Amino acid sequence: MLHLMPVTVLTGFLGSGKTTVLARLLKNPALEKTAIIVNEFGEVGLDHDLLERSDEDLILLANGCVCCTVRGDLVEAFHKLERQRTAGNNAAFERVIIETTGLADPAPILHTLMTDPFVTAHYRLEQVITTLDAVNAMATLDQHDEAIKQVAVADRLLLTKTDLAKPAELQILRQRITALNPAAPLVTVLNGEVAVENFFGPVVFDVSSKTDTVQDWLRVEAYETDHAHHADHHHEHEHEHEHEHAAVDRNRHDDHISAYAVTREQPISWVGFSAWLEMISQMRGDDLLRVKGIVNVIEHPDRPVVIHGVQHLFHPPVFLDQWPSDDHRTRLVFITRDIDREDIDATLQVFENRKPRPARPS
Amino acid sequence: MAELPATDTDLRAEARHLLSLWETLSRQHISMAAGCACGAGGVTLLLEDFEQDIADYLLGEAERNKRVEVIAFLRAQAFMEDTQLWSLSCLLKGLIDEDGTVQPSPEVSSGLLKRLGRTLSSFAKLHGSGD
Repeated sequence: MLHLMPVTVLTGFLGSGKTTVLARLLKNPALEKTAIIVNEFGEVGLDHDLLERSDEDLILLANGCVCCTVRGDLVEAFHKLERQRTAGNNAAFERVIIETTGLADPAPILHTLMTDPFVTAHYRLEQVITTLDAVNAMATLDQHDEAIKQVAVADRLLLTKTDLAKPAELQILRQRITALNPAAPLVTVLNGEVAVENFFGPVVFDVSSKTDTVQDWLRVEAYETDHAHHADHHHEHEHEHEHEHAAVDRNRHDDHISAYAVTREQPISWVGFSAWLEMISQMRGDDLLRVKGIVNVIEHPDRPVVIHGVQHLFHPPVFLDQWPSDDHRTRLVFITRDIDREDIDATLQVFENRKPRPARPS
Repeated sequence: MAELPATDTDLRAEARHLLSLWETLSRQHISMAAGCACGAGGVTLLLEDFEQDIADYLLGEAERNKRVEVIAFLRAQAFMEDTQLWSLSCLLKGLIDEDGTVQPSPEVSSGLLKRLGRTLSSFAKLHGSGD
């Protein structure tokens, strides 16, 4: 199987310590073979001056944070890396880290990594890491949608400047972050120092190798409360107590953001599921901050399908060769804005047993 | 707390409400595979295009729960023999029963209205059409 180069996206709001963390991390010999792409906001790049890398393995994107500009720039950056690799300039690099601009909505960058034909042929999105400044994060999350999105898409969260924050405030912040993204481990960073193993984490699902790490990647249990139960709809009474489908408790600041899981005991129609997913992504793509899942499909119940999307764009579905565990339920996790779990559940019910039928006459 | 039994008037009012909602909702567009600067081309669907899915779902639920009366009502009121298609408008008109010829049982009406109401409300909320 073709080896796809892992790509880590490092994001976080302005002043949250991304560059400091990265600069110190890159001094570690273990990351010697790492290419860096820095996406800065504004005409003059500053952050890259703080990163001590050779020209060959550092590419600066200075075109700001306009969606399609970043996308084109980023693809070109990967082409450049590939040309350098082919020419032997940095043939040995083994991974790529993209540091995004602090003002950026990370979604366009993730879309490029998940869907661009050239990029997906050579690289794979391994994980998204988001830095949060313990002193200013509460206010930043209150004031900037981009900061909420940065937390929502994270696979790992790095909490910086914790030594400067009061313990009580830190506790509230931790609760808020966990409510926004229950599955992402929250790592404390002191003085910008983070161990390589804490930065990358022990387990990341690799869609190209189809490893059995999908359950650790999904972490559906983090989205389920003790009293939540599965939304298998084969019981007439189920929706009599829909209020019990509690999502993780939300902070009052984040009333619009919800994190929840939807599960199914029985296999579902892949044709119907695909149609549903496309429908909701087109209707409410901007508000689907993150969607991940493993799906048990009627068409081939021995081969589950892994899905992964950010807003309206989804990584091509990955068909696993086998189930990673005895748990064969369909498990979907969502972080959404102003989309209730009940509405996701009710519309999925309509499609999950879709029957083949002739086209409707026009 | 147990729900109070709905009266015929309540059920008809709910059916009228859902008919109005469906008539509005079914004409709403969804742009598939487009809708953003990153997408190319695309197909525009109407929510009406999911009418058969919704009816199949109602029938499937009735079959799973062995609700013989509901199945019979759906087939009689909502299935169009000439086109071999389901019609939610016909179903709801049957539940409204303006001229008193259908006379659905309260159990059939309340069950169908509850499930259909939840479904249409969710489609409306996701679409942003409101309810």
